[in-house]
Amino acid sequence: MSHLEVLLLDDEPIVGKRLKPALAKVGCEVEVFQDPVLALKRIDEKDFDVVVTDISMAEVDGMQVLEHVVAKNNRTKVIMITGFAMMSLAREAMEKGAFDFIAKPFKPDDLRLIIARAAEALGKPIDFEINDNG
Amino acid sequence: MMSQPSKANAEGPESHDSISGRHERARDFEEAKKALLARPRFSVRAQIYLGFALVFLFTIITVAGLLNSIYEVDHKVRFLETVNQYLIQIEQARRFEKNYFLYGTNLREGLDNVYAANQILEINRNQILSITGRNVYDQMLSNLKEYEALLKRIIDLEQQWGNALANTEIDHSIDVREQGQSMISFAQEMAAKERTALEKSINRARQMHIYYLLALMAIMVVNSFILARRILVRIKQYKTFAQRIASGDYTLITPMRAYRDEFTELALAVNQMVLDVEAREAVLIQSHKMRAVGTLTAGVAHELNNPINNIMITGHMFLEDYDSLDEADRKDMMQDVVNETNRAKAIIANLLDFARESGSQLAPLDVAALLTDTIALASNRLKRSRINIEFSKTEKLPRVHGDSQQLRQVFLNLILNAIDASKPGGKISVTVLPADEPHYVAIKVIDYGTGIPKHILGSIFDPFFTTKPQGKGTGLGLSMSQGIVAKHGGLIRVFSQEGQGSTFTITLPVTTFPAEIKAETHLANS
Amino acid sequence: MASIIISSDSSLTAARVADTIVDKAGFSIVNRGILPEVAERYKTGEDLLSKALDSPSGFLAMSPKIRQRYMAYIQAVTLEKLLPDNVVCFGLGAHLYAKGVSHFLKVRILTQPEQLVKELHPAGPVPAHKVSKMIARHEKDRTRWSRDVYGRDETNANLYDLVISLNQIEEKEAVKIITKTAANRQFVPMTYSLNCVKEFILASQVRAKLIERFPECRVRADGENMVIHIQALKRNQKKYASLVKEVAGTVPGVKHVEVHVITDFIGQAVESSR
Ligand SMILES: Nc1ncnc2c1ncn2[C@@H]1O[C@H](COP(=O)(O)OP(=O)(O)OP(=O)(O)O)[C@@H](O)[C@H]1O
Ligand SMILES: [Mg+2]
Repeated sequence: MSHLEVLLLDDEPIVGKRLKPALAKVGCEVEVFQDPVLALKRIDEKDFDVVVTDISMAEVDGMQVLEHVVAKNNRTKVIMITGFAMMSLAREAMEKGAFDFIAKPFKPDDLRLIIARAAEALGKPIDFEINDNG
Repeated sequence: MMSQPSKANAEGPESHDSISGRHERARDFEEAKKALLARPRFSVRAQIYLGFALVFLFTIITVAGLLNSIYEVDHKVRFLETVNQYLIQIEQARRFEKNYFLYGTNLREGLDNVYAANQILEINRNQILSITGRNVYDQMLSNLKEYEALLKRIIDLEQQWGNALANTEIDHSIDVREQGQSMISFAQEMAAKERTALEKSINRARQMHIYYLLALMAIMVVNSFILARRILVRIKQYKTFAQRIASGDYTLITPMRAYRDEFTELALAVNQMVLDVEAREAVLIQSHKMRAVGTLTAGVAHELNNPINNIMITGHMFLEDYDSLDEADRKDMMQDVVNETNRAKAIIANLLDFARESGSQLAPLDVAALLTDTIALASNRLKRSRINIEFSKTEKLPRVHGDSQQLRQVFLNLILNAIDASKPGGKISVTVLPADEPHYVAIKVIDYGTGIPKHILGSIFDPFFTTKPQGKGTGLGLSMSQGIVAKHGGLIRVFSQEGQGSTFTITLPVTTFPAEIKAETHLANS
Repeated sequence: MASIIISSDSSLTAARVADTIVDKAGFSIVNRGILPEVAERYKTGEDLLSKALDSPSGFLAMSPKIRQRYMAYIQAVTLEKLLPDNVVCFGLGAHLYAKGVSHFLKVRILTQPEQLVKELHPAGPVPAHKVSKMIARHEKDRTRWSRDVYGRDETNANLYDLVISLNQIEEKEAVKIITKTAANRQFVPMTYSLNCVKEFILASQVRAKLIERFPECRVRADGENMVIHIQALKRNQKKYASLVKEVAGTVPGVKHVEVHVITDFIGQAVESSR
């Protein structure tokens, strides 16, 4: 099974700390960032399969990260997570090319499911069963 | 998701403090009322009546005097008339007497005149007596008698001696002439005297009219001046009360004079109004606060999602990996959960504390800490609008005597206004420092946003003045803030340049400048 | 792809446009065809449901309370039908209650007056001077209806993503615009919006179960957790709270129920009417 390269960006340290092993368990190789500037730098260096990013962050917000990723490589699936979920924000994210949008709080499985779908869309299925067809 | 249009769920029960605060005010009100009513009453109406009564009394006296002098004049005129008639008779008698001595005509008719003169004196006895007194009257009467007697003697002599001339006659004629002459001159003298007296009387009456008018005018002027002053001073005072109340100073009216009057009732009514306005304002302040809370809760709810998400993820991973985790990991995870729970609690605590219905509770406050709280409260709004807030403070500032809830609301109003005026990515500075005046601290909220155009600068503190779209602004923020600050003995000032930004400065008296002094000055000048 | 919710001043127009979209773009349709299912599930008459949807509000009409109840039934089933995407929905008032879901494209279609008059008065031609009066009356009725039941005015353009006037744009063109807009990326369903719909469905189902007994109830779903507000006298507080908990618990998918009892409803009424 191929590894799915995932970049996880959230200024909340616990998110990265806990989700990294959670995603690793289903066969993802996760790089965790808290600082969006460093994350953007890393994105420039490397093509990730999936970028998971928080929206509301200090210096650079998630929308900018999304734009950056899409501009660089639109094969990369970007998943937005946010505590400030609103219809307008969701529509904006989708319009800018996000793969999915999920509101905080979510369960690790919610994110795994989305990543699994992204992986499938990329043709690199991971070790997570998509049994929900919603 | 809401399945029905949501209604704001305002909590019903009032907090304990606000009730006790209201009680306190009610007690103040009762005290003021008692003090106002304890004074003796001297009403404006009484003063008006008194003035009229005075004028009336004075008029009566004057009229009596005038009537009296008219009577006197009348009396004197009549007397003069009597004297005139008397003189006519006497003169007639003397004419007969003269004719008699010159031509030997009949003297009897002269005697008739004397009788008539006598009758005149008799008839007008009282009148003459009242003016001349008994002596003069008696003198007149005896003169007349003597004259009569002299005339009679001549007549008798004539009858005895016929028409023959007698020497005695000549003697008599001299007597008679002298007697007549003296009678006339006596009467004329008297008449002249009385005439001057009459003139004096008339003159006096004339002067009395003028003096009366002058005095009446003086009385009227003095009375209306006192009355007008009394009323105008009061009206002016109530004008200042109205201005004071409008500016948010709800000190009750307390007695200022030694007596009470109609204005006392007005004072009571105004006090009642102040109490009602105050209660209503409290409701308004609370509802405006709840509106602010409403705009903040959205942000806070979102902010809460972060710690909750952390707890959720940690919890799920804890369960999922429980068996494979070692002791240290488990502890670490649970520690995270505890920390995040505390974080969540802190996020709401501030808002809940702010939302609590406040009674007026005065305490020495650390303004810098209040500002920090307030900024934390608005942090989500700031974050969402991507506005940086800069807070600077002077260390060791004296405390301010005030109501923390209300002051926080004022600061929040200013900060929210500044956010509304700023562009995304903008900056807001909040500073607390000693004010230029001693014993005051200044709080400055500076934004670099739209600024306020000159033509509306004068109206921004007016209630309901807003330039924000309907549903976004009520226009009550600044007017309410001004009221609250005024109640704390402070001031809000604004400096703004269109396109450059605005600076709102609040100055508040510090605790070392006792609040009592303010209350006392109020008593003194009210 | 997105789901489309159509609202129009003319129900015939809405139906025609919806049908065209189904034909052309491969959507499935949700319309009044679901009413028998609603009637069966909530044990009421289909005619009553139709009446709740159509009959104008007014003095002798169905009371708003009753109307809200039938609409709650309709809402519960309609939302369920809206869960799968690529659906066109009309005639069920969905534009009033399906709010805040990013992949619902809400469209308002304004019909030509002649068309509307024909529909309102099928018997024959209407004299010219009565036309505007008739249309105004119809509009007033619908406004009142939507206010009575959902507290908002369905003629308000703010409710919609797209408002198309058939006076200016041909129906064929309108259909094209709608399908093209629905294909925009911002209407793509996502985990968040689908979760919103799911929560919506759950809340509506719970409310439909409660509404007969508690017409004032407000229900919010947060994942599998329900937050319910009801009104009750203080002495009934405990009893009703547990009753509500029990009833809500029977709805599949509900895990946790939190009930808030508002005891001071007179105070509440005073507050809200201020
Ligand atoms: N910092 C500021 N910059 C520019 N304009 C301001 C600023 N503060 C206040 N204003 C102007 O003053 C008006 C009145 O402000 P105020 O706070 O009283 O009401 P509001 O903000 O409109 O409504 P509310 O406070 O109830 O939301 C505002 O509408 C705005 O035009
Ligand atoms: Mg304001």
